Amino acid sequence: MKITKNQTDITSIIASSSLGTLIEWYDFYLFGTLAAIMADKFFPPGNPTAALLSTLATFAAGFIVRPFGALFFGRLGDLIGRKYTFLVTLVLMGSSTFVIGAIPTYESIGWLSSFMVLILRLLQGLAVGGEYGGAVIYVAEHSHLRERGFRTSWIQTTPTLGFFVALMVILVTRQSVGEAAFNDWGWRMPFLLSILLVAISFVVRVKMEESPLFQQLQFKDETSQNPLQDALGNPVNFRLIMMALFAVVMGSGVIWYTSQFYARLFLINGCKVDPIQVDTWLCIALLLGLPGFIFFGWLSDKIGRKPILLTGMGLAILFTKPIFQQLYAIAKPSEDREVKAMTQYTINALTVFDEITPKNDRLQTTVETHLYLGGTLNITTKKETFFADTATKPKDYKIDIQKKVEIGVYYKVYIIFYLTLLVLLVTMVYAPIAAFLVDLFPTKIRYTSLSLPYHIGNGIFGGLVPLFATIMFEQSKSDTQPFGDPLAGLNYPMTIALVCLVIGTFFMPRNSKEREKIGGNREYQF
Amino acid sequence: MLSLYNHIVVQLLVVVCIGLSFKSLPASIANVMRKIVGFGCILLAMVATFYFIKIGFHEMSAANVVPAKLTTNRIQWTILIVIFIPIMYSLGIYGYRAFRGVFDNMEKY
Repeated sequence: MKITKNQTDITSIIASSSLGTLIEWYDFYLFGTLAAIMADKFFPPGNPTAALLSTLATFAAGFIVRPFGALFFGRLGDLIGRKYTFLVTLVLMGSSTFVIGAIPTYESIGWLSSFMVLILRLLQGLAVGGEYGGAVIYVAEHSHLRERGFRTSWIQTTPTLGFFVALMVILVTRQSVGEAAFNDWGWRMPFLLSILLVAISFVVRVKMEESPLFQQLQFKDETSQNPLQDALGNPVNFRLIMMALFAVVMGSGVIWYTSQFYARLFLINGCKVDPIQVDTWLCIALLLGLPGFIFFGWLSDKIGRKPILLTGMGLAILFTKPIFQQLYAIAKPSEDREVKAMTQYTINALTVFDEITPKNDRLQTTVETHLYLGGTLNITTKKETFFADTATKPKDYKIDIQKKVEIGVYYKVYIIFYLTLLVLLVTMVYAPIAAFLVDLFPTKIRYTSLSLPYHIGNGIFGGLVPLFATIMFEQSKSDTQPFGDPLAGLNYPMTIALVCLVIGTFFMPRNSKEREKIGGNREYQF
Repeated sequence: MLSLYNHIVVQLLVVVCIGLSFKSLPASIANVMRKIVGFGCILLAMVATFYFIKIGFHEMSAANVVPAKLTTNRIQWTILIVIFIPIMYSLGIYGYRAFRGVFDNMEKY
C-alpha cells in the first residue's frame, strides 16, 4: 500500500485536515473566550459570580462531554472510516456554533435560551471529541512513520491557531462596532461567521480520499466489528490507554490550558488589565510561539517523543509559576515604583465628578489614577449614589468600583515575552503528542483508542483549569490574606503536571522497540 | 502549597525526570521504580478522592448559607465528583497493577 503519492498530495492533505480542525477549535473556543458576555446574556442576572460560574460550568460541560464524543465518533471512525466521521463532526460543530449566535437572549425568552445554549454547548463538545482524533489519524496514516511527528505537528498547531483566530475575530469585531454595541449584539458576529468557515472547509474535505491504511484494512476485511469492545475490553490496549492518559495527556492538557486560557483570565480578571490589551499581546505571543509546534514535532522524529514531551513538562513545572509572578509584578507594581511627582498626572490623580440624576439623586464619580515607572497606569473608578430620598435606596445597594490597569509601553514587550515563553512550553509538550498516540495504537481501533485518553486528559483535566483555578483562588482568601493568593490557581495544573511527569518518566516507552514490547502498534514495517 | 514548587526536592525531582527521559534505566532498577510509582499512584488516588469529596461536600453545604449559590454549587460539584471519582479509581487501579508488577517485564505482553 502506497502511503503518500507525492509531496503536493501530503501538503494538501495536511492543509485540508488542518483547516477543518482549526475551524472546529475556533468554534469551540469562542464560547469560552466570550464567557463573561455569555453569562450576562443567557443566565439569570443578579449575581455576576453565579452567572460566571454557571457559564464556566457550561464551559466545563463542553469539555466533559468530549470523552463521550470521542467514544461515539471514535467508534464510527473505526467502523466506517476517518473521512466521513470528521465530515459529520465538522457539520455538527459549525451548525451548533451558528445557532448559538442566533438564539434570543434570556431577556427575550427566559430559561429556554439558557437551556438551548447548554444543549448546543454539549453538541459542540461531542463534535470536538470526534474531530481531533480523526484529523490526526488521517494525516498520520498518510505519512511515513519517520515523518509522523513533523506531519501531525501541523494539526497540533490548530488548537492554538483556533484560539488565535477566535481572539482576532473578537478583537476586530469589538473594535469595529464599539464596546457597547459588541456587548449588545456584536458578540453574535463571530458565532455567525462560523457557518461560512465550515462551508468552505466542508467543500475542501469532501473531495479528500479515505486514509490508505484504513482502506487497506477494509480491503482485507480486517476492520474491527466492535471497536469499543476491542479498544476497552482488550486488557493490553486498555493499559495503553491508561498509560497514555496518566503518563502524557493529562499533563499536557493542563499545561496547554494554563499557558493560554488561564494566562488570559489571570491578566484580565486577576490583574484587571484591559481585555483588548491582553488579547492583542496574546495574539502576538501565539504567533511568535507557533513555529515551535513544527520544530518540536520535527525534532520528535529525530530524537524520540519522550525526551521532548517530558522535558517540556518539566520546564513548565519549573518556570510557569515564576513567569506568572513576573506577569503579576508588571500588572500590579509595588508602591515604591509609583511616580508621585509628575505634575500632569497629579492633576488627574483624583478627579471627582458630580451629576444629578433624573430622580434628583447625586451620582458622584471618583477617578483615582496612579502612574508607575515604565508608564503603567492604575485607574480606579468609584461611582457612588447619594439618594435624595433614602427610602428609595435599594437594600442590596453597593458602591460601584471598577479597577483598570493600562500597562506602559516599556512593559508591554516584557509581557509579550513572558506569554511567548508560556506558548513555547506548550509547543514542547503538545507537538509530539499526536504522533506518540498514533504510534501507540493499532489501525483498526486507533480512532477510539486515541480519542478517549486525549479528550479525558485534555478536555477534563485541562478544560477545568479555569474553574479549579478560580475555586482555589477563592479558597486562598483568609483573615490574614483577605485578597487571596493570586497564584493559588496554579496549584491544580502544576500538581497534575508533576504527577504526570513522574509517571511518564517510568512508564512511557522511549522508542519504537520499547513501544512494541508493551503491546503497542506493530505496523512500523508497513 | 504553592511553595511546594519552589522546594528544592521538587526541583531536583523534575531535573532527574528530565534527565531520565533521555536515557532508559536498567530493567531491574526501572521495575523497582515502577512499583514505587505505582504505590504512589494508589496513595495519590485515595488522598485525591478524599480531598475532592471533602471539598465538594464543604462547598455544597456552604452553599446552603448563600441561597444564590445553592444550585450552581450543587450542580457543579455533583458533576465534578461524578466525573473525577472514576478517573481517580482508574489511577488507583493503574497504580495497583504497576505495584503488582504488571508493567515490569514488558516482553510478557
